[in-house]
Amino acid sequence: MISELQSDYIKELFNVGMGAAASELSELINDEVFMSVPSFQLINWQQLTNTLGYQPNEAVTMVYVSMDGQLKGRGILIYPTTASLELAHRLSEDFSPLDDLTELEEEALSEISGIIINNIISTICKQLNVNAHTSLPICERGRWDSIAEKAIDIDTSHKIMFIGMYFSIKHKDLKGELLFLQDGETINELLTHTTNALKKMGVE
Amino acid sequence: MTRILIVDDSLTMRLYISTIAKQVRIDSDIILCASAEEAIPYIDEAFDYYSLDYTLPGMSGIELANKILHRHTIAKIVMVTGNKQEAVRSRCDAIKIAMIVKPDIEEPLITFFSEEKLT
Amino acid sequence: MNHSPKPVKNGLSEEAIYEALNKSEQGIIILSSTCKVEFWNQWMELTSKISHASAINQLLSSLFPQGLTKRMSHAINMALDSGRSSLLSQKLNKYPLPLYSSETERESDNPINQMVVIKPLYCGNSITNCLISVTDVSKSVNREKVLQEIAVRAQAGVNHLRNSEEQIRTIIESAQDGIITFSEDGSIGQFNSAAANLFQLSHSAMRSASIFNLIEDFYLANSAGLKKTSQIIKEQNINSNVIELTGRRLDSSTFPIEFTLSQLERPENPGYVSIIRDITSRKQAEERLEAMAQYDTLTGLANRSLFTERLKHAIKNTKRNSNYTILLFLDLDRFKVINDTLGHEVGDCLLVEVAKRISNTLRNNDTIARIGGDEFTIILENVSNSITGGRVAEKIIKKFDTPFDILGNKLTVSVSIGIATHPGAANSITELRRNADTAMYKAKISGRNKYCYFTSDMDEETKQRLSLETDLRKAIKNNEFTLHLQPLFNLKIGTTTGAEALIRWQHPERGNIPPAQFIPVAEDCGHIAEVGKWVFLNACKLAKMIYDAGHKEFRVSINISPKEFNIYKSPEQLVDTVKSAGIEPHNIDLEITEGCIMEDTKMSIDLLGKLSDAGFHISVDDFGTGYSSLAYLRHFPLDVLKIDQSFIRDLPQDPDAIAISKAILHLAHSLRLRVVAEGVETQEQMEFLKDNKCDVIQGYHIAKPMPAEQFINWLNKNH
Repeated sequence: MISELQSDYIKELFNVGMGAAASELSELINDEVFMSVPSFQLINWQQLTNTLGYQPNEAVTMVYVSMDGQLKGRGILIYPTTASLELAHRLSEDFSPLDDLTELEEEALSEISGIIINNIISTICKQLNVNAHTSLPICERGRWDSIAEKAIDIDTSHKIMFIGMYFSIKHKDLKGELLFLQDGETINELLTHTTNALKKMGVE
Repeated sequence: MTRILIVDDSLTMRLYISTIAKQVRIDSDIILCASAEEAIPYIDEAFDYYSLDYTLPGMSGIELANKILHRHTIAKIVMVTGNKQEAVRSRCDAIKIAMIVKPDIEEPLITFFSEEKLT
Repeated sequence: MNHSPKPVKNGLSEEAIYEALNKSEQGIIILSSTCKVEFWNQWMELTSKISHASAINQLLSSLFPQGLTKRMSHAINMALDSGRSSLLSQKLNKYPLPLYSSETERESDNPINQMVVIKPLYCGNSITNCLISVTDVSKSVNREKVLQEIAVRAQAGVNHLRNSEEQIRTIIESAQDGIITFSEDGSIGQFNSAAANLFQLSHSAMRSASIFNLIEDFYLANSAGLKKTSQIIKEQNINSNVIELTGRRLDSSTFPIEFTLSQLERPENPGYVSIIRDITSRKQAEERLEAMAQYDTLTGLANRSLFTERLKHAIKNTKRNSNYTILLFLDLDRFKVINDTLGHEVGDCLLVEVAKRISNTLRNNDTIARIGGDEFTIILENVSNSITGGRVAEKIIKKFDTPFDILGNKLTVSVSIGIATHPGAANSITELRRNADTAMYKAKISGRNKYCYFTSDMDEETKQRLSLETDLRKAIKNNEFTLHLQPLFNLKIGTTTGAEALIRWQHPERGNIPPAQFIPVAEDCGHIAEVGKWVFLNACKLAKMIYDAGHKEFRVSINISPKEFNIYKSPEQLVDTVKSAGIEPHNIDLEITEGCIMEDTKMSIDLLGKLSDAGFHISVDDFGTGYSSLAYLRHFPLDVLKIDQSFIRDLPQDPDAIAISKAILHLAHSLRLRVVAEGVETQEQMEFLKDNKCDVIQGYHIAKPMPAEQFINWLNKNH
């Protein structure tokens, strides 16, 4: 369904997008941020649940951005709550020593996640020469089973681009999960665009 | 015969950069490596142009660049990176190598490969 | 996902919509695609102090002296160029726009805490404008500050508590006494390492332990039905003082503890904290001290002072209960000799074994005490029958039939027992003790290995006996001893070839005291060694005299006992004595009783061998009276068997006597031993013996024992 070249290119796009996100975040915090995408898979909903491996009652933080236009779908960042706290703490000194995020901290996390997702989307759009507009990032927090329903409320036949995410901020390594949910049609379109771009690059 | 070494963990990028390189240096012998470790066996050989990715699994592009410069002090190296942060730039400046930011690499690369060869 | 459906315009004029935006509680800015302000609402006017009129058509960035933050500019561009919506959180973007809620705030440069949202606005599919909405999040900020403060204080409290907890824990942990908390159901809460060590449990075992299993008193109460610790504490009347209880270990072994208890202030789970100290060593020391004061350290028996106490007590009871108290005094026969010959270690071990053997024959409420070296006393309390004393004494004496095995030495020990009864002859405790002592003495002089009751007529005898002892010591010094000689007549040759040297004591006051009387006394009081030495030396002198008188082949016989005479441990000494007297060992015959030889055959073989090698002649005396092992008989280096006079006395009439004598003669000759018959008093006896090939005879029929000079004369006459 997807060739090695396509898969490799999409992953590279994600990497560049992450790089751009890292640059933007580093400006925000005035410190070096390192981000990379170590892997990329195209899977279905069942495989996703298995891969993510969250317990139904596990505390999870999710931020998602909805896309429309030539690329439709949803970009979702999932963090285990502790990681989200960690991320937020790294990026702002102002974070409280509480066990949970306050509203303002939640907003900050949304901003950060939005920057990441948007940069990726922008990169993809630019390279593939497509247009997509995005919504504001929305943060959902709570148990995995209830959140999963809310955020990933799509037809389970949809395909999911599942990307691991690795970042290193102020000497702390963190990991999160990035998903892009698209319906089959959108994926195919995406792949077509990819092939075109590759052709243009002279890479077959 | 122009010798070019391209190191990038993305297959697409390796192919893309070598396509650009071939445009400029038609008669070139290009070695592609997916990681710095793969490139190490080639350290002792002198290449005319090196294109290195910054973000590599294992050893980083900068470290590899240092090793190459150690062997060949006037090697022509370009760091291709998706990371345009100041920190990266200053690292490249410190060892006096050029930096190109993805994804718009075509033009800068053409310029790079057009520079006079060493020999 | 599609755009949200467009709001229905029906019923709502554009003015109304405009008013809504204008009056909004949020700041609303609408920019053109070239970043120029196209809408600036009231909230923005109020907070920025820039009027709508001044703002319209201006580049947003130009409205503010600091311009726009990079993030803001970037977000606006992304919205206009690419349709990206952005959120600028308060946390990551401090005061993106210089807005103030009041003049006072403006003066004190206290901008509003803002959250900014930037969105593209579409007309159809093209982006025409950019919407910027600003929300005052100061309330959230304040709320957060309060929460933070609470959290910080709580954390500080926790830290402080943790530190104090840490301190307390360290103190408890380092305490040497065991500290344990436990609940009503007995389950252990907290404890320190000292506690775990006390009960020899691992920490995990300790955690799941119950106080019921750790304290014996609790265990028993719990087994008896008290299930709650508070019940047990009440019942045992345990308060906050230090009390002594018993600790209990896994293997059910117990140890004495000091126990202190406090109640825990813990209404939801009532419990106690206990401090426990192992006082085993203290208790042991206490016990030892107590024991030392009352018990003999070697044997563990009661000592003299405890004995006295018990005797007093027993006498009192006897008076009350109208029964008897019987006192036994025991003395080990010839203990001094054993101690001297085999050493104190053997002597001590023997005493311990003797104590054990005697104790085993007694009842629980009888007292046995060691009141001196080898002296023991027994108090039989509450005795209904006055002859019980004799029975007990009998039992004890029987117990001594079996030899003792002490450090590889087989020792046959006998005991002399004196019995005094109360009520009886004594009028006081002192008298009672003296009577028992006297009775014991009588037992001794009556042959030992027996018991004797005290009777009043014993006094005189006892006194005499005691004085003998004293006199013996002087006897040697004062030359009160002499040696008599009794001839040994050789039946084959028909002449006297030897003589037996016999000791005589001429007491200055009492006259002649027969050896049968004073030898046992000498043995008892240990003087026998000296006496023996004297006898040997003088017998050698006599032998020399006889030799010089011309009887070159004459042999003098001397009675010795290997056990009693230390000097015979080295035959060399004997040889020296012999030679310094001017004669040779073959001029001396050593007579050793059968009983003595057979008592320690190994030693006998060894010693006799040495003596024989040295040249001495060896005779077995009193043959037939002991328990000879025929097997050993042929291993001893013997020359002569002397048949005891008891067999000779009934010759030649008694058939048994005849049979035995003949048998002994036959046996002896088969073993190539010569036979001496003792106590020959009649011609018939002599003839019988001669007929039966007896070699030598001794007895009144030949001659009585004579003093030396008299003997030599006799010898010369009859040789």
